[in-house]
Amino acid sequence: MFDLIRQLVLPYGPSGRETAIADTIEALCAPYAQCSRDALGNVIAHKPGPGRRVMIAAHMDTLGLVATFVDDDGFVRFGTLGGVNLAAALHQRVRFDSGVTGVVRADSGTAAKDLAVDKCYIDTCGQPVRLGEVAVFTGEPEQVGDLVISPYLDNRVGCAIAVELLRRSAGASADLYVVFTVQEEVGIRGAGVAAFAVAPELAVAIDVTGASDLPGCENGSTKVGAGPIIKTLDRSTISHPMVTGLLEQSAAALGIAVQHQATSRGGTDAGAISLSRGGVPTGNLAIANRCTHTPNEICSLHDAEQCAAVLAELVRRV
Amino acid sequence: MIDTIKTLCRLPGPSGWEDAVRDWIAAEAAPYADQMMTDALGSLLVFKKGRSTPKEPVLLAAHMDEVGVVIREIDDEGYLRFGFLGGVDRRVVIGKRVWIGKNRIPGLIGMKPIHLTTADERKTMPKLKDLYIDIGAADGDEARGLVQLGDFGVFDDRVLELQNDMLRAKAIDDRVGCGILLTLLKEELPVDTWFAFTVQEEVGCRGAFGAAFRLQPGVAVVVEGTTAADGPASVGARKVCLPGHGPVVPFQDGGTIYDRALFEQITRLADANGIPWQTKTLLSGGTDAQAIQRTRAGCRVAAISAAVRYIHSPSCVGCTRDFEQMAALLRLLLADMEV
Repeated sequence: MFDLIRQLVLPYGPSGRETAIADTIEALCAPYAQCSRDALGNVIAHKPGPGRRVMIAAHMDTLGLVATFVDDDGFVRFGTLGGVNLAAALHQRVRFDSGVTGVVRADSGTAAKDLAVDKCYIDTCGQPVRLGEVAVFTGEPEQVGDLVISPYLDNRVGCAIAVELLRRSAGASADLYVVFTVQEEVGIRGAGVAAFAVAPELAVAIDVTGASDLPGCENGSTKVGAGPIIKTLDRSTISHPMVTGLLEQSAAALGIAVQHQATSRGGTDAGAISLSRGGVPTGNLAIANRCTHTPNEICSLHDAEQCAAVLAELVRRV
Repeated sequence: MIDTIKTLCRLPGPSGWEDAVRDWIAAEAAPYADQMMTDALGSLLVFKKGRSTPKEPVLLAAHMDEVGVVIREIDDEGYLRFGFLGGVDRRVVIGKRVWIGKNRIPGLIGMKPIHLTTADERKTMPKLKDLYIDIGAADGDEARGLVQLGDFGVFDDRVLELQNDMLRAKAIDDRVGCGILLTLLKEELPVDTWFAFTVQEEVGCRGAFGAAFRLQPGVAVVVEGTTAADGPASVGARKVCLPGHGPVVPFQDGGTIYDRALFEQITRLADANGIPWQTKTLLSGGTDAQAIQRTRAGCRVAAISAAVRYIHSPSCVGCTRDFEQMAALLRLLLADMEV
């Protein structure tokens, strides 16, 4: 699982620029499913089956910093793709698709409380950048026991779970569509159009969710390593009880302990899928992730494997 | 084409009340259209055949509606309280003329006189409830005889030519788009093209959703006006874009990440044909593309816009050379799609 996560974390793919990660994912899925790409770049992997049509979605886009202006001294002003944590991005090394490396800085004398995107810039040490190019965090994934430290576990670990699901879906009865969506981080823009084309009978979105097992986390009880999380509520969706029920049954059948979460923060592809066409019963399976949207996120390899196992069981039952 | 745009700017058509604009465009387009219809929300959809049928349906879109006001209350002294249709900075309307309803009752937007304000009040933006429209009525009864609750109001329609091909008018956003679309519609086209003149963009791209759902485009280009903030108070990136520096081709704005391939195609055509172009240096604003992109199974979208100062105010200023170059760029793009 670590090797798979590493393979999926490293390719470039901020929102709107997902081609490289899409190509990597398609190559990994091709032995198991028919793959296609839609107008917005979603990767749709179809493994036909006699059962109900199921869509499993994992977004493949990451956050990024998009170059919006280059000043007279060559410093690059930027906008954010998605909910970039500016305080976490400060002084981090970033890389553009062209290979240009830079460091994120704030205008000298900016107080922490005044930190805002219009006070930040990227110093590329004089290397030129075109407006519209997007920079992402650099950082090599590292395994520490059961845990992995890496940028962009949101949501490349979700993609790994989805790929692993496909690899384990030989016994699936479902007419299975595993969709790797685009532009989730900027407003869940890819999942809805993919759902319109697939027209599933039920769907599950796989994404990370914030872990509450660090000092200072008061509300919430999700722990890294304590199992897959069945999320019943977030800002984008009230998970459909039928799908939640299927996830519970699937976990129970395998003896996998799950966590539960109902939160008022965050959203996933489920928000768009559930409203597609005449509506789709949609649920959320999540993996606990520490410090989401920072350059160093942490999650559990065992949690990832168990998420894949639960989903593999679900698609055998429909 | 510039005369067409000026005429369109003068017509009244705030969000939800686009009738006068639609009627004028429909009358102009009718002799050239192979198909024309008005949908349930009032968007005007026109189809014209070209020399060839493109690989996937092509849509050009511009919105007919402008920002304006709507009358919410008529008080006993004859003053009108109002709200905005679309996003309008409260400060830019104080003292401006408005024309209310189908009968074009003239009025002035007034505010509490300065000698009645406190120092603290003078530091903050006026609240909407402190603004009112004065039509000169003697009392509420007279006012109620002239205007009704729910009447719309538009800003003054005078068109002024400034230096360097700069034009002052209301509603350049997005009558420039409507004017360019109408002009292209009257020409021989390289490919079959749908032209959507949408409604209610300013209040949430509401017309574009239904129009795109019906027409199922594969490729769509939105022709718009976008915010230029190149006045003396702005520095660097916060100017966003500059009138007179060519069509604005955004790669992203507040609502859409534009299709990369289309962006490259449009800017490559501009470079190859000597058309200056610029992009937005701030991720702000939004267009009908945010609705069209996400319709059905998705649509590839681009935008070609005019840099407009004081957008969403009674006096927009844009450069007519930019408008001509936008049309030229669209002609090149359509030609590039010819099969």
